[in-house]
Amino acid sequence: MEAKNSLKGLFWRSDFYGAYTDGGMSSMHSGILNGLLKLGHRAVFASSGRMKLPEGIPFYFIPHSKLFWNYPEILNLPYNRKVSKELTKIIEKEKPDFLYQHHADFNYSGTILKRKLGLPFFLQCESVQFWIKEKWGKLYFKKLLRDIEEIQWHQADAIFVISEEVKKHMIYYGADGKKIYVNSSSVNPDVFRPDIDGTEIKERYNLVGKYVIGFTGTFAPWHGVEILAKSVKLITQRIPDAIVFFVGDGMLRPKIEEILKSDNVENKAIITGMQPFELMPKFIAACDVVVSPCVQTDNSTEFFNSPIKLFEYLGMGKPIVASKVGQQSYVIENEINGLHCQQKSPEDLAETIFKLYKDPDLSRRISNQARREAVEKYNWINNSKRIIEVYNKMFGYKS
Amino acid sequence: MKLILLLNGSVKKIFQVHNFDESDFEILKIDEKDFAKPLKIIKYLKMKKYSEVYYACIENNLQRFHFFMFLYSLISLRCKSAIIDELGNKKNFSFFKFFFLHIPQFFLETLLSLFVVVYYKIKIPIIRWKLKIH
Repeated sequence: MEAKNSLKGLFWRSDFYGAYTDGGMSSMHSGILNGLLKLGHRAVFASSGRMKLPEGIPFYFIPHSKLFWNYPEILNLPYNRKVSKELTKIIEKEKPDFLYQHHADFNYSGTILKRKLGLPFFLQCESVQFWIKEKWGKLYFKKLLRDIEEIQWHQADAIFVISEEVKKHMIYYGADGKKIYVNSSSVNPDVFRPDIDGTEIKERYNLVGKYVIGFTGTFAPWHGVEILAKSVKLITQRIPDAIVFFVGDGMLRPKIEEILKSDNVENKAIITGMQPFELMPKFIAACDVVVSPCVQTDNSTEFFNSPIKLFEYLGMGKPIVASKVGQQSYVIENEINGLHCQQKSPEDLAETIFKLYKDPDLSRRISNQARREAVEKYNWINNSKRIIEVYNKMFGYKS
Repeated sequence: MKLILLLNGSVKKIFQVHNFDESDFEILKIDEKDFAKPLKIIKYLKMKKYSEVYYACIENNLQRFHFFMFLYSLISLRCKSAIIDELGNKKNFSFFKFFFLHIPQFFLETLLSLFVVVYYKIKIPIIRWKLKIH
Protein backbone atom coordinates (compact mmCIF):
# COMPACT_ATOMS: atom_id res chain seq x y z
CA MET A 1 0.00 0.00 0.00
CA GLU A 2 1.33 3.43 -0.90
CA ALA A 3 2.01 5.77 2.03
CA LYS A 4 0.22 9.10 2.34
CA ASN A 5 3.42 10.99 1.58
CA SER A 6 4.90 8.32 -0.63
CA LEU A 7 8.45 9.06 -1.73
CA LYS A 8 10.51 7.51 -4.48
CA GLY A 9 14.24 7.12 -4.02
CA LEU A 10 16.85 6.47 -6.67
CA PHE A 11 19.46 4.25 -5.04
CA TRP A 12 22.83 4.29 -6.69
CA ARG A 13 25.72 1.89 -6.05
CA SER A 14 28.84 3.00 -7.88
CA ASP A 15 31.70 0.84 -6.58
CA PHE A 16 33.21 -1.83 -8.78
CA TYR A 17 32.29 -5.20 -7.29
CA GLY A 18 32.58 -7.52 -10.26
CA ALA A 19 30.19 -10.44 -10.33
CA TYR A 20 29.50 -10.57 -6.58
CA THR A 21 25.82 -10.45 -5.75
CA ASP A 22 26.04 -11.48 -2.09
CA GLY A 23 27.73 -9.87 0.87
CA GLY A 24 27.22 -7.10 3.37
CA MET A 25 26.47 -4.33 0.87
CA SER A 26 23.80 -6.36 -0.88
CA SER A 27 22.16 -7.25 2.44
CA MET A 28 22.13 -3.62 3.44
CA HIS A 29 20.63 -2.40 0.18
CA SER A 30 18.02 -5.16 0.15
CA GLY A 31 17.16 -4.43 3.78
CA ILE A 32 16.67 -0.71 3.26
CA LEU A 33 14.72 -1.20 0.04
CA ASN A 34 12.46 -3.81 1.62
CA GLY A 35 11.88 -1.42 4.48
CA LEU A 36 10.90 1.39 2.11
CA LEU A 37 8.45 -0.86 0.29
CA LYS A 38 6.91 -1.98 3.59
CA LEU A 39 6.49 1.64 4.61
CA GLY A 40 4.62 2.34 1.37
CA HIS A 41 7.43 4.18 -0.45
CA ARG A 42 9.01 3.33 -3.78
CA ALA A 43 12.53 2.87 -5.04
CA VAL A 44 14.58 2.45 -8.18
CA PHE A 45 18.05 0.94 -8.17
CA ALA A 46 20.98 1.67 -10.44
CA SER A 47 24.29 -0.09 -10.07
CA SER A 48 27.64 -0.82 -11.66
CA GLY A 49 27.05 -4.53 -11.13
CA ARG A 50 24.24 -7.01 -10.73
CA MET A 51 22.15 -6.97 -7.59
CA LYS A 52 19.69 -9.25 -5.85
CA LEU A 53 16.84 -6.88 -5.11
CA PRO A 54 13.38 -7.21 -3.61
CA GLU A 55 10.66 -7.78 -6.17
CA GLY A 56 9.12 -4.74 -7.78
CA ILE A 57 12.22 -2.54 -7.77
CA PRO A 58 13.20 -1.39 -11.27
CA PHE A 59 16.90 -2.02 -11.87
CA TYR A 60 19.34 -0.24 -14.18
CA PHE A 61 22.78 -1.69 -14.88
CA ILE A 62 25.47 0.86 -15.76
CA PRO A 63 28.75 -1.05 -16.26
CA HIS A 64 32.20 0.51 -16.02
CA SER A 65 34.10 0.94 -19.27
CA LYS A 66 36.35 -2.07 -19.89
CA LEU A 67 39.05 0.24 -21.13
CA PHE A 68 40.36 0.98 -17.62
CA TRP A 69 39.99 -2.41 -15.94
CA ASN A 70 43.68 -2.82 -15.22
CA TYR A 71 43.92 0.47 -13.31
CA PRO A 72 41.41 0.33 -10.44
CA GLU A 73 42.04 3.89 -9.26
CA ILE A 74 41.43 5.34 -12.70
CA LEU A 75 38.32 3.29 -13.41
CA ASN A 76 35.87 5.56 -11.59
CA LEU A 77 37.11 8.88 -12.95
CA PRO A 78 35.77 8.60 -16.51
CA TYR A 79 32.84 6.61 -15.10
CA ASN A 80 31.59 9.82 -13.45
CA ARG A 81 30.84 11.26 -16.85
CA LYS A 82 29.16 8.14 -18.23
CA VAL A 83 27.06 7.58 -15.18
CA SER A 84 25.88 11.16 -14.90
CA LYS A 85 24.49 10.93 -18.41
CA GLU A 86 22.81 7.58 -17.76
CA LEU A 87 21.42 8.61 -14.39
CA THR A 88 20.04 11.83 -15.87
CA LYS A 89 17.99 9.72 -18.31
CA ILE A 90 16.84 7.46 -15.46
CA ILE A 91 15.87 10.46 -13.34
CA GLU A 92 13.88 11.96 -16.23
CA LYS A 93 12.05 8.67 -16.67
CA GLU A 94 11.53 7.63 -13.04
CA LYS A 95 11.18 11.08 -11.45
CA PRO A 96 12.59 10.16 -8.03
CA ASP A 97 12.31 12.48 -5.03
CA PHE A 98 15.90 11.95 -3.95
CA LEU A 99 19.17 10.32 -4.95
CA TYR A 100 20.79 7.99 -2.43
CA GLN A 101 24.38 7.25 -3.42
CA HIS A 102 26.54 4.64 -1.82
CA HIS A 103 29.90 6.39 -1.82
CA ALA A 104 32.76 4.81 -3.76
CA ASP A 105 36.33 5.83 -4.56
CA PHE A 106 36.76 8.69 -7.01
CA ASN A 107 33.04 8.89 -7.67
CA TYR A 108 31.26 12.23 -7.41
CA SER A 109 28.29 11.56 -9.65
CA GLY A 110 25.88 12.50 -6.82
CA THR A 111 27.40 15.96 -6.75
CA ILE A 112 27.17 16.31 -10.53
CA LEU A 113 23.49 15.34 -10.51
CA LYS A 114 22.65 17.59 -7.60
CA ARG A 115 24.26 20.57 -9.35
CA LYS A 116 22.67 19.72 -12.68
CA LEU A 117 19.15 18.72 -11.63
CA GLY A 118 18.76 20.06 -8.10
CA LEU A 119 17.76 16.63 -6.84
CA PRO A 120 18.12 16.13 -3.06
CA PHE A 121 21.28 14.13 -2.58
CA PHE A 122 21.87 11.66 0.25
CA LEU A 123 25.22 9.98 0.59
CA GLN A 124 25.97 6.77 2.40
CA CYS A 125 29.50 6.27 3.72
CA GLU A 126 30.96 3.16 5.30
CA SER A 127 34.24 4.85 6.07
CA VAL A 128 36.65 7.59 5.14
CA GLN A 129 37.77 6.10 1.84
CA PHE A 130 41.13 7.78 1.42
CA TRP A 131 42.08 6.76 4.97
CA ILE A 132 41.09 3.14 4.33
CA LYS A 133 42.92 2.96 1.02
CA GLU A 134 46.05 4.52 2.40
CA LYS A 135 46.15 2.37 5.54
CA TRP A 136 44.87 -0.94 4.27
CA GLY A 137 45.43 -0.93 0.56
CA LYS A 138 47.48 0.81 -2.06
CA LEU A 139 46.75 4.38 -3.02
CA TYR A 140 48.59 6.29 -5.71
CA PHE A 141 46.32 9.34 -6.00
CA LYS A 142 45.57 10.23 -2.40
CA LYS A 143 45.07 13.97 -2.98
CA LEU A 144 42.63 13.34 -5.82
CA LEU A 145 40.66 10.79 -3.80
CA ARG A 146 40.53 13.05 -0.75
CA ASP A 147 39.46 16.07 -2.80
CA ILE A 148 36.64 14.11 -4.45
CA GLU A 149 35.51 12.68 -1.13
CA GLU A 150 35.38 16.18 0.37
CA ILE A 151 33.33 17.41 -2.61
CA GLN A 152 30.80 14.64 -1.99
CA TRP A 153 30.64 15.38 1.76
CA HIS A 154 30.20 19.07 1.05
CA GLN A 155 27.47 18.64 -1.54
CA ALA A 156 25.42 15.89 0.10
CA ASP A 157 22.29 17.18 1.80
CA ALA A 158 22.59 14.41 4.36
CA ILE A 159 25.18 11.74 5.02
CA PHE A 160 24.26 8.36 6.46
CA VAL A 161 27.03 6.44 8.19
CA ILE A 162 27.12 2.99 9.73
CA SER A 163 28.49 3.87 13.17
CA GLU A 164 29.21 6.69 15.61
CA GLU A 165 32.87 5.91 15.05
CA VAL A 166 32.64 6.61 11.30
CA LYS A 167 30.84 9.87 12.11
CA LYS A 168 33.66 10.94 14.45
CA HIS A 169 36.25 9.96 11.87
CA MET A 170 34.54 11.96 9.13
CA ILE A 171 34.17 15.02 11.36
CA TYR A 172 37.88 14.75 12.17
CA TYR A 173 38.61 14.93 8.45
CA GLY A 174 36.38 17.94 7.90
CA ALA A 175 32.83 16.69 7.24
CA ASP A 176 29.98 18.71 8.73
CA GLY A 177 28.74 16.71 11.73
CA LYS A 178 25.32 18.41 11.62
CA LYS A 179 24.33 16.57 8.48
CA ILE A 180 25.68 13.15 9.45
CA TYR A 181 23.16 10.57 10.64
CA VAL A 182 24.07 7.18 12.07
CA ASN A 183 22.19 4.34 10.43
CA SER A 184 23.92 1.20 11.66
CA SER A 185 23.68 -2.19 10.01
CA SER A 186 20.53 -4.11 10.86
CA VAL A 187 18.72 -7.31 10.02
CA ASN A 188 15.53 -8.49 8.40
CA PRO A 189 13.98 -10.42 11.32
CA ASP A 190 11.55 -12.18 8.98
CA VAL A 191 14.49 -13.78 7.14
CA PHE A 192 16.83 -14.33 10.10
CA ARG A 193 14.59 -15.94 12.70
CA PRO A 194 15.04 -18.58 15.40
CA ASP A 195 12.62 -21.15 13.98
CA ILE A 196 14.79 -21.81 10.91
CA ASP A 197 15.97 -25.41 10.76
CA GLY A 198 19.69 -26.04 10.40
CA THR A 199 19.46 -29.85 10.18
CA GLU A 200 20.21 -29.95 6.46
CA ILE A 201 23.46 -28.05 7.00
CA LYS A 202 24.34 -30.12 10.07
CA GLU A 203 23.95 -33.29 8.07
CA ARG A 204 25.81 -31.95 5.04
CA TYR A 205 28.86 -30.99 7.12
CA ASN A 206 28.72 -33.86 9.66
CA LEU A 207 27.88 -31.56 12.54
CA VAL A 208 25.17 -33.68 14.13
CA GLY A 209 25.92 -34.25 17.82
CA LYS A 210 28.72 -31.67 17.84
CA TYR A 211 28.92 -28.38 19.70
CA VAL A 212 29.13 -25.99 16.75
CA ILE A 213 30.85 -22.63 17.08
CA GLY A 214 30.03 -20.59 14.01
CA PHE A 215 31.53 -17.61 12.24
CA THR A 216 30.03 -16.12 9.10
CA GLY A 217 31.59 -13.52 6.85
CA THR A 218 34.58 -12.51 4.83
CA PHE A 219 38.05 -13.52 5.95
CA ALA A 220 39.34 -9.97 6.13
CA PRO A 221 41.74 -8.68 8.83
CA TRP A 222 39.21 -6.66 10.85
CA HIS A 223 36.84 -9.65 11.21
CA GLY A 224 39.30 -11.24 13.63
CA VAL A 225 39.06 -14.59 11.90
CA GLU A 226 42.73 -15.33 12.70
CA ILE A 227 41.95 -14.98 16.42
CA LEU A 228 39.17 -17.52 16.01
CA ALA A 229 41.53 -19.88 14.16
CA LYS A 230 44.08 -19.57 16.99
CA SER A 231 41.37 -20.33 19.54
CA VAL A 232 40.32 -23.63 17.90
CA LYS A 233 43.01 -25.58 19.76
CA LEU A 234 42.06 -24.02 23.11
CA ILE A 235 38.34 -24.53 22.56
CA THR A 236 38.65 -28.17 21.57
CA GLN A 237 40.94 -28.93 24.50
CA ARG A 238 38.09 -27.91 26.82
CA ILE A 239 35.10 -28.99 24.72
CA PRO A 240 36.16 -32.22 22.99
CA ASP A 241 33.06 -32.47 20.77
CA ALA A 242 33.36 -28.86 19.59
CA ILE A 243 33.82 -27.95 15.98
CA VAL A 244 34.54 -24.48 14.64
CA PHE A 245 32.51 -23.71 11.57
CA PHE A 246 33.97 -20.99 9.33
CA VAL A 247 31.22 -19.99 6.90
CA GLY A 248 32.90 -17.78 4.34
CA ASP A 249 36.07 -17.13 2.45
CA GLY A 250 38.51 -14.37 1.68
CA MET A 251 42.08 -13.20 1.48
CA LEU A 252 43.07 -14.63 4.88
CA ARG A 253 42.01 -18.17 4.05
CA PRO A 254 45.55 -19.46 3.39
CA LYS A 255 46.64 -18.02 6.74
CA ILE A 256 43.69 -19.60 8.56
CA GLU A 257 44.48 -22.97 7.00
CA GLU A 258 48.11 -22.57 8.04
CA ILE A 259 47.16 -21.83 11.66
CA LEU A 260 44.82 -24.83 11.80
CA LYS A 261 47.52 -27.04 10.33
CA SER A 262 50.29 -25.87 12.64
CA ASP A 263 48.01 -26.33 15.69
CA ASN A 264 47.09 -29.77 14.39
CA VAL A 265 43.36 -29.05 14.58
CA GLU A 266 42.41 -29.28 10.92
CA ASN A 267 39.83 -31.94 11.79
CA LYS A 268 38.27 -29.64 14.40
CA ALA A 269 37.36 -26.91 11.96
CA ILE A 270 35.41 -26.65 8.71
CA ILE A 271 35.79 -23.90 6.13
CA THR A 272 32.79 -23.84 3.82
CA GLY A 273 33.89 -21.22 1.29
CA MET A 274 31.53 -18.48 0.12
CA GLN A 275 27.87 -19.37 0.51
CA PRO A 276 24.82 -17.74 -1.03
CA PHE A 277 23.11 -15.18 1.17
CA GLU A 278 19.83 -17.11 0.99
CA LEU A 279 21.43 -20.02 2.86
CA MET A 280 22.94 -17.91 5.62
CA PRO A 281 20.01 -18.31 8.06
CA LYS A 282 20.32 -22.10 7.74
CA PHE A 283 24.07 -21.96 8.32
CA ILE A 284 23.61 -19.86 11.45
CA ALA A 285 20.78 -22.14 12.59
CA ALA A 286 23.23 -25.06 12.49
CA CYS A 287 25.41 -23.38 15.15
CA ASP A 288 25.15 -23.60 18.93
CA VAL A 289 27.05 -20.40 19.51
CA VAL A 290 28.13 -17.69 17.06
CA VAL A 291 31.11 -15.41 17.28
CA SER A 292 32.12 -11.99 16.00
CA PRO A 293 35.74 -11.64 17.12
CA CYS A 294 36.36 -8.32 15.29
CA VAL A 295 39.62 -6.52 15.97
CA GLN A 296 40.88 -2.98 15.73
CA THR A 297 43.55 -3.20 13.06
CA ASP A 298 44.93 0.29 13.38
CA ASN A 299 45.72 2.21 16.56
CA SER A 300 45.17 5.60 14.98
CA THR A 301 41.40 5.21 14.88
CA GLU A 302 38.64 3.39 16.70
CA PHE A 303 37.08 0.26 15.20
CA PHE A 304 34.42 1.85 13.02
CA ASN A 305 32.71 -1.00 11.19
CA SER A 306 29.18 -2.21 11.71
CA PRO A 307 29.41 -5.96 11.12
CA ILE A 308 26.19 -7.17 9.53
CA LYS A 309 26.81 -10.67 10.84
CA LEU A 310 26.31 -9.41 14.41
CA PHE A 311 22.78 -8.29 13.58
CA GLU A 312 22.02 -11.48 11.69
CA TYR A 313 23.11 -13.43 14.77
CA LEU A 314 20.78 -11.28 16.91
CA GLY A 315 17.92 -11.97 14.50
CA MET A 316 18.54 -15.71 14.68
CA GLY A 317 18.37 -15.58 18.48
CA LYS A 318 21.69 -17.34 18.92
CA PRO A 319 24.04 -16.97 21.88
CA ILE A 320 26.67 -14.50 20.70
CA VAL A 321 30.28 -13.97 21.73
CA ALA A 322 31.57 -10.65 20.42
CA SER A 323 34.81 -8.84 21.05
CA LYS A 324 34.43 -5.60 22.98
CA VAL A 325 35.36 -3.24 20.23
CA GLY A 326 33.67 -0.26 18.49
CA GLN A 327 29.95 -0.67 17.86
CA GLN A 328 30.00 -4.24 19.18
CA SER A 329 30.82 -2.90 22.65
CA TYR A 330 27.44 -1.17 22.93
CA VAL A 331 25.18 -3.22 20.63
CA ILE A 332 26.12 -6.25 22.70
CA GLU A 333 25.49 -5.80 26.41
CA ASN A 334 27.41 -8.32 28.41
CA GLU A 335 25.21 -11.14 29.72
CA ILE A 336 22.08 -9.33 28.48
CA ASN A 337 22.01 -10.07 24.74
CA GLY A 338 25.42 -11.67 24.29
CA LEU A 339 28.83 -12.05 25.88
CA HIS A 340 31.86 -9.87 25.46
CA CYS A 341 35.40 -11.10 25.08
CA GLN A 342 38.63 -9.17 24.82
CA GLN A 343 39.66 -8.40 21.28
CA LYS A 344 42.80 -10.09 19.91
CA SER A 345 42.76 -12.71 22.66
CA PRO A 346 42.21 -16.31 21.51
CA GLU A 347 42.39 -17.36 25.18
CA ASP A 348 39.57 -15.07 26.26
CA LEU A 349 37.48 -16.02 23.23
CA ALA A 350 37.86 -19.71 24.09
CA GLU A 351 37.13 -19.04 27.77
CA THR A 352 33.94 -17.09 26.93
CA ILE A 353 32.70 -19.82 24.60
CA PHE A 354 33.37 -22.35 27.38
CA LYS A 355 31.33 -20.22 29.77
CA LEU A 356 28.34 -20.48 27.43
CA TYR A 357 28.88 -24.19 26.94
CA LYS A 358 28.71 -24.76 30.70
CA ASP A 359 25.70 -22.53 31.26
CA PRO A 360 22.73 -23.38 28.98
CA ASP A 361 20.46 -21.09 31.03
CA LEU A 362 22.65 -18.11 30.27
CA SER A 363 22.69 -19.10 26.60
CA ARG A 364 18.91 -19.25 26.50
CA ARG A 365 18.46 -15.94 28.31
CA ILE A 366 20.80 -13.94 26.10
CA SER A 367 19.41 -15.58 22.96
CA ASN A 368 15.85 -14.51 23.77
CA GLN A 369 16.94 -10.96 24.45
CA ALA A 370 19.02 -10.90 21.26
CA ARG A 371 16.00 -11.81 19.17
CA ARG A 372 13.81 -9.24 20.94
CA GLU A 373 16.31 -6.48 20.16
CA ALA A 374 16.65 -7.55 16.54
CA VAL A 375 12.91 -7.19 16.04
CA GLU A 376 12.50 -3.95 17.94
CA LYS A 377 15.77 -2.05 17.55
CA TYR A 378 17.90 -3.48 14.77
CA ASN A 379 15.36 -4.00 12.05
CA TRP A 380 16.17 -2.63 8.55
CA ILE A 381 12.78 -0.98 8.49
CA ASN A 382 14.08 1.47 11.10
CA ASN A 383 16.92 2.44 8.72
CA SER A 384 14.40 3.15 5.98
CA LYS A 385 12.31 5.21 8.41
CA ARG A 386 15.34 7.30 9.34
CA ILE A 387 16.03 8.11 5.68
CA ILE A 388 12.42 9.20 5.14
CA GLU A 389 12.41 11.22 8.38
CA VAL A 390 15.55 13.06 7.29
CA TYR A 391 13.97 13.78 3.90
CA ASN A 392 10.79 15.09 5.52
CA LYS A 393 12.74 17.19 8.00
CA MET A 394 14.88 18.76 5.29
CA PHE A 395 12.49 19.08 2.38
CA GLY A 396 9.07 18.97 4.04
CA TYR A 397 6.25 16.55 3.43
CA LYS A 398 5.39 15.90 -0.18
CA SER A 399 1.96 17.24 -1.03
CA MET B 1 48.79 -31.99 -12.25
CA LYS B 2 46.76 -28.90 -13.11
CA LEU B 3 46.39 -25.70 -11.10
CA ILE B 4 43.36 -23.57 -10.37
CA LEU B 5 43.95 -20.11 -8.96
CA LEU B 6 40.55 -19.34 -7.53
CA LEU B 7 39.75 -15.64 -7.47
CA ASN B 8 36.11 -15.91 -6.50
CA GLY B 9 33.14 -18.18 -7.04
CA SER B 10 32.43 -21.77 -6.21
CA VAL B 11 34.96 -24.49 -7.07
CA LYS B 12 32.15 -27.01 -7.14
CA LYS B 13 30.22 -25.09 -9.81
CA ILE B 14 33.38 -24.51 -11.84
CA PHE B 15 34.33 -28.20 -11.82
CA GLN B 16 30.80 -29.17 -12.74
CA VAL B 17 30.32 -26.77 -15.60
CA HIS B 18 33.76 -27.45 -17.16
CA ASN B 19 33.59 -31.23 -16.59
CA PHE B 20 36.83 -31.22 -14.63
CA ASP B 21 37.96 -34.13 -12.50
CA GLU B 22 38.82 -32.76 -9.03
CA SER B 23 41.61 -35.28 -8.50
CA ASP B 24 43.65 -33.75 -11.37
CA PHE B 25 43.72 -30.34 -9.75
CA GLU B 26 45.46 -28.37 -7.09
CA ILE B 27 43.39 -25.37 -5.95
CA LEU B 28 44.87 -22.19 -4.55
CA LYS B 29 42.75 -19.31 -3.32
CA ILE B 30 44.01 -15.90 -4.36
CA ASP B 31 42.72 -12.37 -4.07
CA GLU B 32 42.45 -9.74 -6.81
CA LYS B 33 44.93 -7.67 -4.81
CA ASP B 34 47.53 -10.40 -5.29
CA PHE B 35 47.93 -9.29 -8.90
CA ALA B 36 49.87 -6.35 -7.51
CA LYS B 37 52.37 -8.89 -6.13
CA PRO B 38 53.87 -10.54 -9.24
CA LEU B 39 56.38 -12.60 -7.28
CA LYS B 40 53.65 -14.21 -5.24
CA ILE B 41 51.63 -15.26 -8.30
CA ILE B 42 54.68 -16.43 -10.21
CA LYS B 43 55.77 -18.45 -7.18
CA TYR B 44 52.39 -20.21 -7.17
CA LEU B 45 52.58 -20.87 -10.90
CA LYS B 46 56.07 -22.30 -10.65
CA MET B 47 55.46 -24.32 -7.50
CA LYS B 48 55.10 -27.50 -9.54
CA LYS B 49 55.29 -28.47 -13.19
CA TYR B 50 51.63 -27.84 -13.87
CA SER B 51 50.41 -29.02 -17.24
CA GLU B 52 47.56 -26.50 -17.27
CA VAL B 53 46.79 -23.38 -15.27
CA TYR B 54 43.34 -21.86 -14.79
CA TYR B 55 42.27 -18.58 -13.21
CA ALA B 56 38.74 -19.17 -11.97
CA CYS B 57 36.07 -16.62 -11.18
CA ILE B 58 32.31 -16.13 -11.05
CA GLU B 59 32.04 -14.45 -14.44
CA ASN B 60 34.81 -13.68 -16.93
CA ASN B 61 32.98 -10.65 -18.28
CA LEU B 62 32.96 -8.97 -14.88
CA GLN B 63 36.47 -9.98 -13.83
CA ARG B 64 39.32 -7.47 -14.02
CA PHE B 65 43.05 -7.99 -14.64
CA HIS B 66 42.89 -10.47 -17.54
CA PHE B 67 46.07 -8.87 -18.90
CA PHE B 68 48.03 -9.55 -15.72
CA MET B 69 46.78 -13.13 -15.49
CA PHE B 70 48.11 -13.89 -18.95
CA LEU B 71 51.26 -11.88 -18.38
CA TYR B 72 52.15 -13.91 -15.26
CA SER B 73 51.37 -17.15 -17.09
CA LEU B 74 53.72 -16.12 -19.86
CA ILE B 75 56.53 -15.06 -17.50
CA SER B 76 56.33 -18.34 -15.62
CA LEU B 77 56.13 -20.28 -18.88
CA ARG B 78 52.72 -21.73 -18.11
CA CYS B 79 51.32 -20.95 -21.51
CA LYS B 80 48.60 -23.55 -21.43
CA SER B 81 46.42 -21.34 -19.32
CA ALA B 82 42.91 -19.95 -19.40
CA ILE B 83 40.46 -17.82 -17.49
CA ILE B 84 37.32 -19.78 -16.68
CA ASP B 85 34.08 -19.02 -14.88
CA GLU B 86 31.03 -20.53 -13.23
CA LEU B 87 28.98 -19.99 -16.40
CA GLY B 88 31.16 -22.27 -18.49
CA ASN B 89 33.06 -19.49 -20.29
CA LYS B 90 36.71 -20.08 -21.09
CA LYS B 91 39.22 -17.54 -22.39
CA ASN B 92 42.39 -19.31 -23.53
CA PHE B 93 45.82 -17.77 -23.58
CA SER B 94 47.05 -17.23 -27.12
CA PHE B 95 50.49 -15.89 -28.05
CA PHE B 96 49.11 -14.16 -31.08
CA LYS B 97 46.30 -12.41 -29.22
CA PHE B 98 48.53 -11.52 -26.30
CA PHE B 99 51.22 -9.84 -28.38
CA PHE B 100 49.05 -8.28 -31.05
CA LEU B 101 45.91 -7.44 -29.10
CA HIS B 102 46.34 -7.44 -25.32
CA ILE B 103 49.73 -5.72 -25.14
CA PRO B 104 48.74 -2.87 -27.50
CA GLN B 105 45.44 -2.55 -25.60
CA PHE B 106 47.32 -2.32 -22.32
CA PHE B 107 49.58 0.43 -23.69
CA LEU B 108 46.54 2.31 -24.91
CA GLU B 109 44.94 1.90 -21.49
CA THR B 110 48.09 3.23 -19.81
CA LEU B 111 48.26 6.20 -22.12
CA LEU B 112 44.58 7.06 -21.69
CA SER B 113 44.89 6.62 -17.93
CA LEU B 114 47.66 9.19 -17.84
CA PHE B 115 45.48 11.57 -19.79
CA VAL B 116 42.51 10.93 -17.46
CA VAL B 117 44.60 11.57 -14.34
CA VAL B 118 46.00 14.84 -15.71
CA TYR B 119 42.51 15.95 -16.77
CA TYR B 120 40.99 15.27 -13.33
CA LYS B 121 43.99 16.73 -11.49
CA ILE B 122 43.05 20.00 -13.19
CA LYS B 123 39.27 19.58 -13.11
CA ILE B 124 38.77 18.63 -9.45
CA PRO B 125 40.51 21.70 -7.96
CA ILE B 126 38.37 23.86 -10.26
CA ILE B 127 35.20 22.18 -8.98
CA ARG B 128 36.39 22.69 -5.41
CA TRP B 129 37.10 26.33 -6.12
CA LYS B 130 33.65 26.80 -7.69
CA LEU B 131 32.01 25.15 -4.70
CA LYS B 132 34.16 27.19 -2.30
CA ILE B 133 35.57 24.13 -0.55
CA HIS B 134 38.73 25.02 1.30
